[in-house]
Amino acid sequence: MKSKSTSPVPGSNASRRPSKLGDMLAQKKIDEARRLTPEQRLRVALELSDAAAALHRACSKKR
Amino acid sequence: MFQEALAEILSRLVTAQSRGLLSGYALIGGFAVSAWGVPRATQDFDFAIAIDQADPQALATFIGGRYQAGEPDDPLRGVVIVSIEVGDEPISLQLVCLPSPLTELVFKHTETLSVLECSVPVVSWQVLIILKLYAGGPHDLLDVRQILKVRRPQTKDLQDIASMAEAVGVLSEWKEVHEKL
Repeated sequence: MKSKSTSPVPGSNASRRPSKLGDMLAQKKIDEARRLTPEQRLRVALELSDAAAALHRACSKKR
Repeated sequence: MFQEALAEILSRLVTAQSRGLLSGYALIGGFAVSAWGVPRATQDFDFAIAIDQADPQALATFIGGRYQAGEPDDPLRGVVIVSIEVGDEPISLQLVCLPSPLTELVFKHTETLSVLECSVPVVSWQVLIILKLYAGGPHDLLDVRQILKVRRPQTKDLQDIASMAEAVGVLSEWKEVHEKL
């Protein structure tokens, strides 16, 4: 029989001690996203993706 | 790079539509999650497409990609896989043919965003949640939670999502997420 995981998030653990600081940081990210329009969020994602790709290229060429 | 790629993709899709090779397209995947949730970097573009009676192989040829049909029991009907060259860098594009009920939902609920002088049809956040529940992976469920946190859905939104979830067979997945909210 297929067992069902109680937590679908990899690395998460039901016995993990919740961090108020971690929750605060996560909430800050949500609040910042709420202040942007969907257009602005999409533009930020395009810029972040450019930066991530540039970082990947730079690290790949360093060997 | 991604901005140029998006402009190029939209140009090809507009032309393909004008030639009758597809009847609609809408941004889904990571960039749509960013539009409705918390912005994040991603590696590729995913669009849902409606092709009606058109030939997906002809679309793939025109777009410069290859079409791969899903197996009979695959949750996806097929996908056109394209590599868009921007400068020297290839960027992946997936044009996803969803099952009919999901395709209907997607194209009944799109919003056009204006980004960098491009008009980008994006699936609504409510239907994006349904697509993520349908995909069902751990990261998809994280995306659902983040979208809900950013959107702060009203009772009517939650009812609409439940109704759509029931229509496409992901109601139990939705209830599980909703209970944890």
